[in-house]
Amino acid sequence: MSWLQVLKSKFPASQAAQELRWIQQELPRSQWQTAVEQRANLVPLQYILGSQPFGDLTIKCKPGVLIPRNDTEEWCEELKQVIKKRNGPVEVLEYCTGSGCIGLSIATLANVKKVLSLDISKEALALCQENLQLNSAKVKAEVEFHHGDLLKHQLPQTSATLLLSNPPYIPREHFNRAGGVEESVLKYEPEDALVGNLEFYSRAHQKPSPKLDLRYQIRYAQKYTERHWLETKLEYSTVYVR
Amino acid sequence: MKRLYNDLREVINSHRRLKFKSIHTYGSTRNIQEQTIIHPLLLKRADVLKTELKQIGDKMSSSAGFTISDSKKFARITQVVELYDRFVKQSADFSGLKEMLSEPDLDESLKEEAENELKLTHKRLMETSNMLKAKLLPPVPYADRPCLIELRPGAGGHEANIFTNDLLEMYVRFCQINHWPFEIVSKNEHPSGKGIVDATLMINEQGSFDRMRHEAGVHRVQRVPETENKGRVHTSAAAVIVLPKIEADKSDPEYRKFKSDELRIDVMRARGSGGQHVNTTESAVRITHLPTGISVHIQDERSQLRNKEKAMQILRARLADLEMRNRMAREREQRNEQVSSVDRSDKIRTYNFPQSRVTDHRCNFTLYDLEGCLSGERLGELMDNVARKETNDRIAGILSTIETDSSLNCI
Repeated sequence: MSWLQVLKSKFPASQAAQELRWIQQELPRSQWQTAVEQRANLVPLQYILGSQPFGDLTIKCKPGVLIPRNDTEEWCEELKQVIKKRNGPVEVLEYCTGSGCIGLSIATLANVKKVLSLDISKEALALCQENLQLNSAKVKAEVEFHHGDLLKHQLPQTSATLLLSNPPYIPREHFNRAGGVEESVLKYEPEDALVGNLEFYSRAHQKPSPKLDLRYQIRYAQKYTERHWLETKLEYSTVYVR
Repeated sequence: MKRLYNDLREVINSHRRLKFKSIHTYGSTRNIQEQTIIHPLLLKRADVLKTELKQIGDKMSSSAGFTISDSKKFARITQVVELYDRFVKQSADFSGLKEMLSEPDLDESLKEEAENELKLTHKRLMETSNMLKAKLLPPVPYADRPCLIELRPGAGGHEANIFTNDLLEMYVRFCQINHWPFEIVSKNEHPSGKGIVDATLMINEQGSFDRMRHEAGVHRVQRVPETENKGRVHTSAAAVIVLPKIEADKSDPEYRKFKSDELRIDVMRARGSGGQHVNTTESAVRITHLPTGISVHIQDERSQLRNKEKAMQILRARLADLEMRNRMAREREQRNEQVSSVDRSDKIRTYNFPQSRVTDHRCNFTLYDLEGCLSGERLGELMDNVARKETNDRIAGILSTIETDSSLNCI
């Protein structure tokens, strides 16, 4: 079987051709065979190629850390447009940063002074540092990655005016094929970056900063958490959800 | 010294008088054309304008029914005729000087002065002829721009896909030979791995649009396809579309901002829940311009953002092209111009493998070096021939409007 046929047996024809092309563009010839085999075993392409484009940035990807999603990228691009228009220096606090993709993207904006991103995973924080190095030419703000467990009150002192988060939002009972989770995700991506529910949103409700004009922007899946819940429970001046 | 100079002027003037006579007749403009590259038909047009100017002048002096549009026309033609007169005079000077310099027993100091004078005259003549040309033949819209070339297979099945790829490679080599920066913006390969479903090539060279625009149309190939086992010659085709590149920023005068309800941007969503549930690699973007229905689909890059930028780039170029076509059609209608322009669906060229030739049907030129054409090395020769034919047609078109319809709006 040719490489293309191998991939076609697992994916739609156009996706198979596209992915084979990317493998051949980005990896040395000696790795093509292994890459195709891994991909046929549903290893995420982003782990095989070691990266994922995210807006203007290239985010390094490693097993153990969640791969940046396409719709997070879209959300982040929209968010950048919103933040760009704000007056004065913006200081950002981010929960559950994972690969660091959101925090680093926001840190490319000229009016962002500082970004502090937190994650529970030490593996993720190490990758965040690598991604900061990788994208240092584009990052303008001061960026820090800290270890923090959102559910155990390990929150930093901050003067941030903007809180961002894309927390885990797949409820435990849905973390399976029947719940719409892809096999590739179930087999290869870190569960602790995916399984979660309203607890993350309610924790975010407890403001770590005494400043009242804190703005709260959060991403959630409408299927599992209700917009209404967010809008009534959270008393921040702006709730930007998608 | 002063005396010498006067002698020189005298010699020049006598030559000028001699030359001036012959310049006024159409048949003798050949040597002017050689020196200044003005097409004889264009000079003829200028001549026609001169007659026209005289008629308007007569009308003016007799003051019989002289209108505002007459006076506008008068002003417009006067400009051209003045340039034309200057051109004729400078041409005569130039020829006279050249003739004088060719005389074997010319005095040394006289010769030096004549040479200096010749250089000056040549410079002035070039300037005048460029201005005159621009006045006589309206410039091609977007001529100075970089371009995008879109390639799509036509009739002929899989063989057409393979031929489309051959054309893409030909243009890529042509860029390399010319040292033009280029980028394959999008390329969809045929599922078999041979040939392409479509491709877009961007040539980031100023003025490449003017050079490449003659490539637009249907290209036909006659050969025994690789896919044919009975050895029969097949005919298949590929369509080439050439678009002007519009920059995606405000510094470009053609740049336009789209209203939010003008575009529909579809990103390829993962099946199912999307979001954290999937780690999709799909990054395809489709942008539809709702008022015109133009739709661009790009999936080459892993980055959705890059795909979106590319799709917008192509959309802008297609819209500029559409607007240009509409404008030209309107203008043609206004002038009742009879000249047919080349349609996109017209077959423009045949690549015949058995006879190893390429024939361009617009100018009836055949290059007996198929290999040389497909390698990009001799493609330029074909283009030159088409360009020459087009210039002639345009001039002929302008002349016919002058002769049939005396309104000179086309200046």
